[in-house]
Amino acid sequence: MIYTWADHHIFTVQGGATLFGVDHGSLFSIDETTQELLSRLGGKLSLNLAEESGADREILEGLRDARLLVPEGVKQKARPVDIEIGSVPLTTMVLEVAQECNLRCTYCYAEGGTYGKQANNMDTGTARAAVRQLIEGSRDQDRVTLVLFGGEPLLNMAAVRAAVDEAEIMSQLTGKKVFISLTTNASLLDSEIIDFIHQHRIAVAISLDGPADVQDANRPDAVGGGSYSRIVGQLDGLLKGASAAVAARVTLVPEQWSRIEEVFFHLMDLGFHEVGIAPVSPIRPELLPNAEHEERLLEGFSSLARVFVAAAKTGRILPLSNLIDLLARLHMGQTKSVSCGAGYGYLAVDVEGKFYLCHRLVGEESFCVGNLSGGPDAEKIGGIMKTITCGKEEMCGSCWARTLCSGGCHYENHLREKLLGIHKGSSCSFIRRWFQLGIEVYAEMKNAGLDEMLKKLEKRVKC
Amino acid sequence: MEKRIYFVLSIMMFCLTAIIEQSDAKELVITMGYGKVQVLDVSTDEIVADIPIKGWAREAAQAVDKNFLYVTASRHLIHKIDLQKMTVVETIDMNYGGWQRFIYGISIVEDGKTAYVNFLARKTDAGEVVVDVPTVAQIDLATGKILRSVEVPFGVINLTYAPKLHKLYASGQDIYTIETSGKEMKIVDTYSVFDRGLNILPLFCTTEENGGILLFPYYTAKLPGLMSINANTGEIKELPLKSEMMAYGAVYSTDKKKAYANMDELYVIDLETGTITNTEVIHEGTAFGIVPSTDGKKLYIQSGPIVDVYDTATLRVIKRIQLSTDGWMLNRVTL
Amino acid sequence: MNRKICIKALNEKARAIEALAKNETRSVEALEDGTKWKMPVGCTTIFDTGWETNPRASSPVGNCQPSSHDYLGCAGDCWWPAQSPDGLTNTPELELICSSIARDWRDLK
Repeated sequence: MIYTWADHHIFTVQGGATLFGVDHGSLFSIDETTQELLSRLGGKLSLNLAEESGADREILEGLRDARLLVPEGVKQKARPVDIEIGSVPLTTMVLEVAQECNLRCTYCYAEGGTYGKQANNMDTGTARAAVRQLIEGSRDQDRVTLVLFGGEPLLNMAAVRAAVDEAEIMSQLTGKKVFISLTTNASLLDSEIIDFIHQHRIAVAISLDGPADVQDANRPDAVGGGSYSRIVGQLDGLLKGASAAVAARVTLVPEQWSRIEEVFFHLMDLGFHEVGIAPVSPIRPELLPNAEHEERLLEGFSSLARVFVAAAKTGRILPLSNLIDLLARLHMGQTKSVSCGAGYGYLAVDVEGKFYLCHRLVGEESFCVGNLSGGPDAEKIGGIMKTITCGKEEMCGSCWARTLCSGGCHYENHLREKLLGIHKGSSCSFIRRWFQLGIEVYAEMKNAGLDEMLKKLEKRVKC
Repeated sequence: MEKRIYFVLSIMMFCLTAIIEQSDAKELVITMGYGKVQVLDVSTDEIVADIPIKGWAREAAQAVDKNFLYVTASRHLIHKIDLQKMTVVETIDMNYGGWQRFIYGISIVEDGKTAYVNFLARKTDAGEVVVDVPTVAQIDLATGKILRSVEVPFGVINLTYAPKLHKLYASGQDIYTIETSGKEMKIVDTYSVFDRGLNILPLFCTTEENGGILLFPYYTAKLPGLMSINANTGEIKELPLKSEMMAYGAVYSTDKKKAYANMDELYVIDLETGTITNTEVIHEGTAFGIVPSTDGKKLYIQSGPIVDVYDTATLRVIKRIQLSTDGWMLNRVTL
Repeated sequence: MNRKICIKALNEKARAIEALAKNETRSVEALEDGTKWKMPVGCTTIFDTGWETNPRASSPVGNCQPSSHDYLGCAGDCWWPAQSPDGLTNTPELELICSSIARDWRDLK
């Protein structure tokens, strides 16, 4: 039978090579003879195993069993999948309970929390109705996630309490587990709110960018004062007696990317259960990184990864959620056919009860996809999906990382292409290098025999 | 010792009588095999006879006096099988006079001496191929001589004869009614099938075995249906089905409220509503032959060299009979 | 299969793929084209006659079974352009060589 190569990519690292099977997200370690064979025959369009020499055939049969050689005619061009919008149950809903904020972060994509609108709060009736829609839309799913978001959600505790109460009522009624999380700047936390959070097992993500100088530069209050000390003062109370994870959510502007190690360790030392670091979205041209910035960021992640592996070898998992999530996905070989859940199982609701594709696109009228009274507009979502994935086939078809990335963040792409007028794919090289780092770290951990630790990560990606 | 012999002899006599008695209303299923016709006894579901024949069997028709069965083979031979002796007693070959003929469809005429056959014919003349028009003919069963004939459109594969009406129904692209009462046979009616977007293949169907009604599936671009030709009344009927079905043949249940159809699955069809009420995968694979027992309690389905006997009440296979030849279709005779 | 190990699964997906391959026997190569119609990709002389495609979900799984049953039917009458002897012109006495394909197929020349 005639075979042809399935898409694959080789990562050569010290002491061996790792082979990534693109379609399945499979990772294999290969020896030198296989590496040599791949460099010799990897470019051939078709192979007849019967015509190859005995030694080569043996290796080729191994590659065929690994689904890296496939019968000719079976291989199909990667195509964007056409998922019927209404067919996916709703599993996550983000509630914009307050479209206002007491901080004035320099990089805020929500324009001071208002999303470019009049500052406004969600009324309790809307909050409850949204929760009911989440439960109803989740159909046969027995776990759903409710995200309390803003703006600063703690500015509207009435809606927060109503949403949590409704979620608990619905959970009782339907037997579904409602996982609640709250994203806050933590500047308004007090003991009463902390009690409420603990009591209702709410996971908290605190937007905190690192040491005082970074935090205060990035996240001043309305009159230009720093926010660091006010937040850190409440942290002990929140962490002590926490009934769900408390995570730090870091945003860094390009000039700060060289400091990510320092930022990470500072936050880890503050006692956060997890720390996730995100490069800022380029809402203005000056926030767009140059190649030098990206290099610094990758170096930062790379040295954090080295520390992570070293700690892992001593039996400790460092709370770097970026890497933990990636490793978990790589471990399971999870592939994606859509870049994120936006519009499928994931929707955001604004203060007026209007649906948006995701929380970042709230206020962008072209991404408004229905409202609470009429339900999500599947046709509109479908139309938007077609527009935003247009050209993906050509863009991603030959990229080895396509099944890991599947096109990247819609909002990020929207900003870069529509607002800044940058060509498509401007963040691809960075994304690929990040995945490559993850694969290398994974192979190293695997070769170091850290299977037990990797197994613990499985639950992060298992549904 | 002597007593013992008498005892044995009387037992033997008793057995012989029992066999004779049983054979009085013997019901048999005949399999159309390759180089062979095999006979199953419906009362025991055992193979009771292996009848070697020349060629590959295709169609069968019981003689008017019930004692003989005519079996076409290799599309040009007609074997006369004695159903008591279970042997071929006569064979006529329709290849004569320089012509090669290919028979598709045979019906025995009530005179007991002639039959209607449908055939295509070809010969070579001075190195050139000559193809004759498709023909339905009445032939002498003793000699194969063509007594009279009529030209039919291309594609006829089944003949159903209605002796009381003196009509012959030839099914192909359409269904042609041939009047046989006059001196000449002639097509008097054409029941349109093809031009209405219907497709039929009544190859694996029987009339006598099915209460005098030929029943077969038809296909459209959308959903299939069942078509029937009633040899008692001449009525041609269609029943559109409400769901997909892929079937070669079909037969009625005894009460005619249901039909069974077969290919890779066995379908049970409610004839009142046109719905498929049950589908059972035929585990032996694609099946051509289907015939019910007279009492309707059993259904015989042939796939390759295997005949499965189904209990119609439960649709469970109650016996799996291994033949020594693959098969084309099944016929049933009563002696 | 005692093959030298040149490639080793690292992640769970790779392990699952390897486990899948272990249970595969390769005495006969796949004949499906991978589309939902499972059209045959190639023909052996007998068990895939190349036309019977059976898109149904139920029996028969694959093409071998139905084609073997259809084989002699096609041979005799030449209904379909199946890869089978022509019983009408060139192999009129097919039944003498082969009367049950599953049993006698080795005798076909």
